[in-house]
Order: sequence, then structure tokens, then C-alpha cells
Amino acid sequence: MKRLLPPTRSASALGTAALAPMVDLMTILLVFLLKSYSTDAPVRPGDSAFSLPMSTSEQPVQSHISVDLTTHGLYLEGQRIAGTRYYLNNPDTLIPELHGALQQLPGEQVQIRADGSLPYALTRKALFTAQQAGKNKVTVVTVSRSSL
Amino acid sequence: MARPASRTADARPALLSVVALMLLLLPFLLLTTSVQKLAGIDLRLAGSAADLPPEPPGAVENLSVWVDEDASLRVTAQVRRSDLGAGQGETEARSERIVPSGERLDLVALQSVLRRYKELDPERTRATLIPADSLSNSQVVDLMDAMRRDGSGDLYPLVTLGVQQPAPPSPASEDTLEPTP
Repeated sequence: MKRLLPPTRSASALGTAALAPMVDLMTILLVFLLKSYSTDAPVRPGDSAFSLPMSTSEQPVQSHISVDLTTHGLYLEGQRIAGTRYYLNNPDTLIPELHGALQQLPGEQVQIRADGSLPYALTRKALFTAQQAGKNKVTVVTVSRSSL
Repeated sequence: MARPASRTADARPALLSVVALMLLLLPFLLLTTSVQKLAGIDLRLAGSAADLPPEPPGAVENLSVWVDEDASLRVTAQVRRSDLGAGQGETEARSERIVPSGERLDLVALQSVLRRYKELDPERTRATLIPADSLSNSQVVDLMDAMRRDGSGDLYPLVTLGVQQPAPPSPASEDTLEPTP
């Protein structure tokens, strides 16, 4: 069926004008999302109290042997190996459970994911233990300040 | 023969394809992106100072930042003497104490002290951080960030963690910095 009124030129111009801000908005959104894009899996998603310290570092994290220090316990590759409170109060610098388990694993790179609120004393013990177990390349995992 | 003036090309089809592409990309990015962007800080774990790669000889040696339990900071260094009366390679121990502003670490004052040492010896890239055990991990990471760079550029990108076993050296003349407002 033939249209009674052909589209006018003014309607066409109006359509183009309405599309332009939408494209602008989407371009801004796209650039923002691409800049903050991250495919990193969440760290300890089941532990809502766990929070990594924030850092200005932008160095990407490679996947290595992970040692998690939480307020509840010490975990190696997700497996609980010791309690936090005991080693916070213990004057010993070496954590034997962690030391033995780390020695069983190949490679010399370890990433330590420590809760930001925990005292540094525990992290120092974990670092020392990793060093004693022959893991000399240690990375402390943080959350980049450029995160969303 | 002059060609007739053509009608203005309709820009809408081109814009629509851009919008369609973005509409495809946006949900993909929104679904796959993570709120947390992880970043790593490489640590140097050397058994002793001898295991660390040597620094180039310069005016500043053994630069260390000590953090006490009361959040006060102490920057110690061996600075090579350059006056005429000094012997070759003779150094003097310098120590500057930074009083905390409240319970917070005064990172701005720390960076200004480190910047002065950096200007003395720009080639030096390594400094040692010796935190108290009672500091939180977040505070230690903040200190490492502050030591690595300030607003003017890099300070000491290689931060080595030390252990606070021996008492920090306390030379006779120790400068004390007031907290920055």
C-alpha cells in the first residue's frame, strides 16, 4: 500500500540528530569499560569478609601457587592448612604446615593473597616460610586502585 | 556538462551499524568484567644482603625506612661525604624521624624525604622497608606504594622487605619532621 505522506527531510535530520548522542554515550561507556576490563576471577568469593589491600600497582597477576591468609585460616591452593590465630600469637617465624606443603609443590613462584586488615606479622611469617621452602619469587596480590 | 547536485547521503545506516556493534560489545563486557582488577607487587626475598644484586656506587647507601608501632617513620641512610676533609668513600649516617599525624602514617612527608635522597643519588632504585609487626597489610602496601613513586615520578621501584630485629641506628644528630597538615 502506498504511503499517503512520504517521509519529510526534517524527520530524517531529526533521526540522525537523535542517534548521535546515543553513539557518543555508548562510546564513552565502551572506553570506560575497556579501560577497567578485567577477567580476573574473584579471590575467595565464598568469604565475604576477605578483602585484599589496595595498591597503585598495575602489574598483572600471573597464576602461580596461591597462599591465602584470611582472618580464619591459612590456605594453600584453596585448602586450609592452619589457623590464623595460632600463628598470630606464636613467636615462631616458620609455619611448618605451610613449609611442608610448599616443598611438595614444584616451581619457585608463589603469590600471597593476604587480607588487608591482618597484621603484617603473619604475612612476614608466610614470606619467610615461602623463602625457606625454596620459593624465592613471591608476589603479593592486591586490588588495583583503577578497579571499578 | 554539469552533473545534477546529488541528495545529501543518509548517515543513519552507518550510525545504526555502529550502535548495533556497541550494543553487542557492551553486554559482553558487562557480563565478563570483574569488579576487582588484581595487581601484583613483586617482592625480593633475599637470604642476606649479599644475595641481592649490587646497586651502582652512589652517594646514598643502605637506604631504609623503619616503621614503628606508633606509626612514626624513620628514614636511615649512609650518605657519602663530599667535603674536602672527608676521606675517600667515607660516609655519614643520617636519620630522619617523621612524626605521625594522629594515628595515620605520614606518607607525604616520607615521600618528600625520599625525594631528597633520590635527588642526591638518582641512580639508586632500591630501598628497604622495615615495618613493625603490628601494622596491617594495607598499611604496608600503602608504604610500598609511597616508596615506589610520588607525584613527580619514580622513587625506589624495588622495595625490599626487612625484619625489625635490631634496633634502628640512632645517630647523635637526628632530624625530626613535623607531620604534614
